[in-house]
Amino acid sequence: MSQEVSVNPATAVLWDPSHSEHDMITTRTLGFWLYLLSDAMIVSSLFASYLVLDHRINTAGGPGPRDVIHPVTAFWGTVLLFSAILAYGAAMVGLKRGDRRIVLAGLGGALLLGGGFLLVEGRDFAQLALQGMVPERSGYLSAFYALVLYHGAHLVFGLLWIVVMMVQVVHIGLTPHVVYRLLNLKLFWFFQGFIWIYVFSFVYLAGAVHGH
Amino acid sequence: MVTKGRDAWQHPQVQLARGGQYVGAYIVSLLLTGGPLWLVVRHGGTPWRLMIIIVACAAALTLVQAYFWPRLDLSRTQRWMTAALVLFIPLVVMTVGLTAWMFATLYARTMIPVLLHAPAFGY
Amino acid sequence: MLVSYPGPWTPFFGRLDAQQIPLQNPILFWTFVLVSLGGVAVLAAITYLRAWGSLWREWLTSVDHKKIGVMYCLLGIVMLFRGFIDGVMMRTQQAMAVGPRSPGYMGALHGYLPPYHFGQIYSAHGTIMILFAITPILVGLMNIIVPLQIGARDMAYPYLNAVSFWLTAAATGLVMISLFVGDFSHAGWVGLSPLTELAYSPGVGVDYWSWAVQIGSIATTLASINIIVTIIKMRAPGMTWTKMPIFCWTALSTSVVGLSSFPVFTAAVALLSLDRYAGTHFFTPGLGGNLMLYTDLFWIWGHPEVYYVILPAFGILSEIIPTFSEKPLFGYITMAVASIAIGGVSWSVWLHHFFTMGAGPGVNAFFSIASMLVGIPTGVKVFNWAFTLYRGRVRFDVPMLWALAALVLLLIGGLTGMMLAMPAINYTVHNSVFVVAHFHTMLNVVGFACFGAINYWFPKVFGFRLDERTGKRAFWFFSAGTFVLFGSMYALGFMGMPRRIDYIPFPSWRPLLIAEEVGIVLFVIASYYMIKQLVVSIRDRVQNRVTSSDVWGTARSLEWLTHSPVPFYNFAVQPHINARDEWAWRREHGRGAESPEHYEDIHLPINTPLPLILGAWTFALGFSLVWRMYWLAALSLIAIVVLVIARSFQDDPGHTVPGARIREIEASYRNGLEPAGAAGDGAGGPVAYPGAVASRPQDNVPARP
Ligand code: HEM
Ligand SMILES: [Cu+2]
Repeated sequence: MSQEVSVNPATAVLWDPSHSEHDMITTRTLGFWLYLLSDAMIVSSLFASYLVLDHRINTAGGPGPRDVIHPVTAFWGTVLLFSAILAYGAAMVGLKRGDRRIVLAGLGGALLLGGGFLLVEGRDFAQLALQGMVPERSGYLSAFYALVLYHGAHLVFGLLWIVVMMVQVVHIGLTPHVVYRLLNLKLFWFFQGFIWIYVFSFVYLAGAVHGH
Repeated sequence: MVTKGRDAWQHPQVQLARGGQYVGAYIVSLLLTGGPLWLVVRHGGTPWRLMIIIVACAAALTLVQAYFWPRLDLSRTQRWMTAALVLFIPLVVMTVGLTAWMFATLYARTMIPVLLHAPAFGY
Repeated sequence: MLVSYPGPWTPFFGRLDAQQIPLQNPILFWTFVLVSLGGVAVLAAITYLRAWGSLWREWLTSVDHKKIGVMYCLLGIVMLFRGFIDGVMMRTQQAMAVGPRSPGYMGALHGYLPPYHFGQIYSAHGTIMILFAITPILVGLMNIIVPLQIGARDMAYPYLNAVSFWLTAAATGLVMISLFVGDFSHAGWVGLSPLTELAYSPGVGVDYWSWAVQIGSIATTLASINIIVTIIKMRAPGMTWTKMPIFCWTALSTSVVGLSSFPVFTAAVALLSLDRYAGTHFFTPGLGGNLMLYTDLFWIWGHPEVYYVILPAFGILSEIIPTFSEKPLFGYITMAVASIAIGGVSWSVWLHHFFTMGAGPGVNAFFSIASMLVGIPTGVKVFNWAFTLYRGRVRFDVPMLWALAALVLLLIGGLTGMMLAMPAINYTVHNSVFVVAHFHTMLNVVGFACFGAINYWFPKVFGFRLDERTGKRAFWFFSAGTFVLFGSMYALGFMGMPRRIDYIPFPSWRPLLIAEEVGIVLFVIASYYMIKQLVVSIRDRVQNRVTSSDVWGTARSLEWLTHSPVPFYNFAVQPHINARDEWAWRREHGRGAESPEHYEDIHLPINTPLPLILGAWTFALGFSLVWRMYWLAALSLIAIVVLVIARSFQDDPGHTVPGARIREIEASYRNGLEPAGAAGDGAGGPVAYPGAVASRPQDNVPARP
């Protein structure tokens, strides 16, 4: 048989009774990371749509990038978002020491700063909508709203999750399950920063450069 | 591996957290988004040059954040996540890039005459 | 309301009213009657057998990968049957409605199906076959086999596994209920844009399609994550990457493809739904939409999806062919590399589905060449299988017959694919039935592989074999049907017959259309034998029971090491992997019969009804969105979120089966007794049909030289 076997069949070990259980936390975070990457593919599709629909014809004679893109406002959002991520980082440093209070403080900070980002973004979009620049107006606006608000919707979800985790940290404590969820939430939260890099660079900055 | 009981926070993935690096990445992130913004707002350069700067900053920021925030490196607990990210990047680039490419030429070839002189994607 | 559509809307029922139940259509009426009677009969049978309790405890709430896999396969097979009936209806219509003189019945001008109904049928057929029949069967097979082949106790996330299954079931339910409440999409399985836009399809058909496929694709994404992590993290000690069975390699590759491409599909259809519900303009012809954008996004998923279904089929062939050639697989490393390469390349070819869009020569040339590159790793695989057969001691058991025929089909389908990948040829045959024949040849490769796999692994899962005689008949009729039907279809394609037509204007095509009808009759006979095979096998389960862990005597991989039917804990003690074909290696070195000396406690997750409940709420969500009952949609969404959060507060404590208990079960397996209570307190258990494992002789390792 053409098998590259180096063990001696007569003495080979057949069973591994004491093989310890696999590491639950690493397994969970890997799966969640894969989920995030699949989510990134949705974002990629939205980016592809935005690129395709970012042509003068797609504005259907309505507002274009120059009218709807406010890079400076977006930058204040950026500052808040990155600060929210930093706050979550603080929670992680607290977790590293097993200190629940720091964890809670960090989560609380992330909650507030993330909420701040949503407020800035929400105000910006509310103003657009009040000026009649709604997604129903044109293909371009549909793509713009979809891309930016998909990120925003993730933050809403993230805030909900932070609240749940705060409750769990207080009531359940730092058990393996709570710890892996905190790690997953970390990945989720950092990932939103990741996505925002591209939204900020390719929608806001590039849009301000080119307009139509 | 310590994953049982009350000391779950001693898991190596938790122990990766580094306050100093978080803060460093935070400052770099603000610089690499604020810098291009400043150039864009002041029209500091031709659109072409600005675009190159924007892309370069985004790429650099990707690396900085990936390494210093979720800590994607080749250590035992992280390597599969790093591998997955690296494998996904070509897919993202292909999804967006090939789509952009095919529609750029499509618009140039099939759009109504008024638009023939308008380059795709407003550039 | 953001969008306007014809017909009434009430806050409570949305668009739903009694007239939406199409009882005036005789076909649907009788289907409805039959399905209701069948449903009542099944429910009555379960009640009569007092099986509700065990059904609930051991199946519906199970988190055991084998049971979930079996349920996936069952779901897929039921849907395969449904899709098949659609196919019969289409073939019959096309055989009848030929030429201006052809008569019409039941309200149709020609044939018996009016165009709109015909459109619904081909759309349902395609959607069902690809997403709700083949995909669940393959996911089910991967679910059952992958953990066994890598020596794991379960999937990485047993609970998520159940959730994926119940989401798939919810999506399938939406497709099925569209038969009787409202209608289904008529815009093809691809969702031809802008026909899917509200302005052109104001009914609920497209909504049924879109919510069903969105839910289904989320389920498949989750299943892919599960399989990838299982393969990366749960391999038994000693199983290095180069010792992993090829089926697992293909499962890995396919899951990576699924994980990365299904979200794009979700996105494409979600944007379409935004167009239909919120009045946006992604794909509308006016106001700055771009309908080719939909086509692009769809095929970014669509092409990887066809590889998503073919890769596990390749894996199945790679398991069956060596077993029945009594040789190890030829070219293991190239096989593994080719599996990954096919997955990778499949990501850069999608434009070949719309060469005729009018992109420039550069773009078309790029995608044409990329498409042909897929042929290289596929060719490598075909040669590897051929060399495995070469000088092997080939046996023609039922699984092998299916596998060999699949190879022939793969050759035909691959070559016609190459033809289609050349823009010059493509311009002449695009949207003709030549394309339909191409992809049916390919998808039949998958179908053949699935039937082979079911025959191959059935004894492992259920503890008795499938009947050989009826199985062979089913095979021969099915193959004959395939060649007669799709051979004629290729010819019609060359003659220029367009796809998706309910009326054929040229009487000169009639002979070939009738040949196609003959083909479908052969399929009908084949499916008769398939059902008969199942019935006969269950009847004769005691004679057909399996007396060893390896029914075929020459199988190679790890799943054949444990008992048949597989106990709920898979392996009493985790095996240590020494060789690439571990089971063949142990058998050939005379160590196949050895069992572990001592047993340890086994920790297992507990069953939970939550996945089923989540599936039910998801179904409610989809249904209410279809009918725009927004209050119910909001309620379902809240219920889902609340349930998920609530679950996170009560971690699964699991339960422990003591080592002594494992020893008892193992002993009774070895003594050929029915392993009393091996169901392990309702947490899995062998899936054997009662009576199948009673009183069998001493387990012996087959003495094949
Ligand atoms: C050898 C590799 C293959 C090549 C080069 C190839 C090429 C093509 C091309 C160019 C088309 C577009 C035809 C047209 O619409 O004008 C096509 C359609 C299709 N192929 Fe393949 N193919 C290959 C393998 C497969 C496999 C493995 C499957 C599935 C298991 C498959 C399933 C399909 C389906 C479902 C369609 C048509 C979908 C539709 O328009 O409704 N193909 N193929
Ligand atoms: Cu294709």
